[in-house]
Amino acid sequence: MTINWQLLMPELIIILTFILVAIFDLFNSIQKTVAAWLTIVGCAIALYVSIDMLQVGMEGTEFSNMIQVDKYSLFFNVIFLVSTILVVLISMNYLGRTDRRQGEYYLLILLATLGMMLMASGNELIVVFLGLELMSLSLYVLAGYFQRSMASSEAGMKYLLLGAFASGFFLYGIALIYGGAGTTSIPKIASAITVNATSPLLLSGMFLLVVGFGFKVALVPFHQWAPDVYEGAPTSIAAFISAGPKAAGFAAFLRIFLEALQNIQSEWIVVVTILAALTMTVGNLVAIAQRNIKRMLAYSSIAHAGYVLVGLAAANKDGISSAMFYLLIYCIMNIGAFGAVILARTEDGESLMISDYAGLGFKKPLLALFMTLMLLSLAGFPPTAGFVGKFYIFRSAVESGQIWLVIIGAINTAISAFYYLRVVVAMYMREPEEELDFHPYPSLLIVALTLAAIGVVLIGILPSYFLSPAQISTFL
Amino acid sequence: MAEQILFIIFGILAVGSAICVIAFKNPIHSALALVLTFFSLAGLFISLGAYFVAAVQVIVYAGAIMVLFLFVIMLLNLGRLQAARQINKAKVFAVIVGIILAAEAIYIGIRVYDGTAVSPSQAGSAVVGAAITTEQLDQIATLESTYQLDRAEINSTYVPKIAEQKSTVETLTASEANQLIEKLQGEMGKPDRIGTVLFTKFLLPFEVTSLILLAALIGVIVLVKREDPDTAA
Repeated sequence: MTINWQLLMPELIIILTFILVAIFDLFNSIQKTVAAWLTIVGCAIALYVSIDMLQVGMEGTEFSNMIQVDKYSLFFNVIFLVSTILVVLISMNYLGRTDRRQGEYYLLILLATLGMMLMASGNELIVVFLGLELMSLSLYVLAGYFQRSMASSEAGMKYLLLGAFASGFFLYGIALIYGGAGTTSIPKIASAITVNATSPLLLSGMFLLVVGFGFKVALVPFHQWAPDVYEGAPTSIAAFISAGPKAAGFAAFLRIFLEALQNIQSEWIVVVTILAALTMTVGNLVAIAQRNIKRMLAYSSIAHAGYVLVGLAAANKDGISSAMFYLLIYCIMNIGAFGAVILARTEDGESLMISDYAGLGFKKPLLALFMTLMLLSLAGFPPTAGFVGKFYIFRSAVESGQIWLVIIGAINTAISAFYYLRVVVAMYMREPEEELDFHPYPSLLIVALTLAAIGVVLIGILPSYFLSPAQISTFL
Repeated sequence: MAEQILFIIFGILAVGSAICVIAFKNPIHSALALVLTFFSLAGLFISLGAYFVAAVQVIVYAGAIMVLFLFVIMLLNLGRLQAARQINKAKVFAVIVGIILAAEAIYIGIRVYDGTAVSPSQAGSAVVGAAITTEQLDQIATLESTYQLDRAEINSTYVPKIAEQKSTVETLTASEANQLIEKLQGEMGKPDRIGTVLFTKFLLPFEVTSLILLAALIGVIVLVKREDPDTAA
């Protein structure tokens, strides 16, 4: 058996980086920041290779059709690697304060990234499931990484229990689809469904998959874990969980539903549409009531999953490409927003209450500037990236006739502006209630935030430069 | 028929003992009920002809893993768990949703069993004497690719066992082809076939599983490691 290793270059580079970090971590004499730098360098090389493969248009299946490397999976690799690099950058100063050894932290981040890449390129439900498990297992541990903090341990435990439950749904769905279609290979399922029309096994399997994915990407009836986990987990990990894994969940969600189950589209489209409307509305409405900024960002990320789901509900080529484009933007701006939260540290730890941000606009102008930019982008104000992302998502939905969904989405965008702007208003127009002593800016965090800010503005001004790769990368 | 009876017995045992696992108050009883679940799952595997998987199920799960479970329960000295007596709203809701889902599952089961929805493996039911159908050929081809069998091997070893004078799959009648399919499906229980499939077709999932175990290993180290003030500095 000969294997075309070139196709698997990004994955191999991540594994190699993993091994190197594990070896360097053994020596106590080497500074612990080496692990972080190795991770960044490895991810950057993998990112470069992915972009290169995307431009060359390298495609193919490998390991007896187990994985399918195509432009779609490579585009998602770019999303995952960009978010991993940003997360490692914002983690370095954040972890630097605690005296824990950090090697394992970066090892788990690398394994989670590898899991995401497998989810995006999986051509077989088994591989998608294994990628999902690899990613989730690493994230459970990362969420509980601060074992001394009750909140972090609780977040890890909660995430583990609910995540395992969701994995059960997902696996049961795969089993039923196997029973209905006689295969777990995504393209073969697609052809098997045409022959056999709709078996009840397939339908129930499909609904179980919706539940499984719903948990993983935090859609509304299945979102309860997200705010608690984001609040309790280390802030850098909250940024990580909210970005890459959500994109990976959607990568598999889109591929399975629009490729394998496209012939029973009429059955799932209603469910997906209702979930999208519910997710946007509930996410945004509950976010208004939040006083803790991490919880607010958690509900905002739930609402954003709803916007992406509109792309799936559109169920056309534009829907996929705009969902991919939106996920790229979302990852950058959400990690940026969490990074700004890390930046606002005081001596007692993080200042997480929105009221703590009062008056920051003049006391900490740079922090306030980053925070404002990220929040405006999340709210979808032009000329930021968030605006163009929402624009293309809604346009694809209009094209496929989902007018009601677009109206609900537009109303939700207006609602979301309220709570995002409330933080901005607090920063620039309110007097602080008590004098908080903020830490000086850590340099690497500023680098990460500057990168995110450049990304948000650049995509906002030159959207076509980033949208066209997404448009040529769809699998339909 | 015997297979179906076995399936029903082991299925009821598996579900019943799984309910017992969560219903028992004493953790030791729960663990023992879990052993019974694993054994009935092994029985299900046997009724499907997957003997090797059944043996592994008993050795690994019922044997090794359950011993660890019991060991931990004894080490932690868990007593009887306090029964949660109060019936809260969430529980009522859970019961209602559970009943709806169970009804749905039973309905689907009946529909599938009725034959109103034909599962692909039953697609080509045979008329005696008729030539091999294209569905059956497809099915044989699928089995070949799944279990990494060779068409020449099938022709030389399996076909003569079913019809003495014949030496190619294509010349079989439909009923003989059904026998062949059954025989090939029986092959999957053999350890050498599982090994071949695991290290060829399913090589990538196999390797990824090892990474998952690695992630679990690192996770355990992270979660249980105590910070030593002397070495931390």
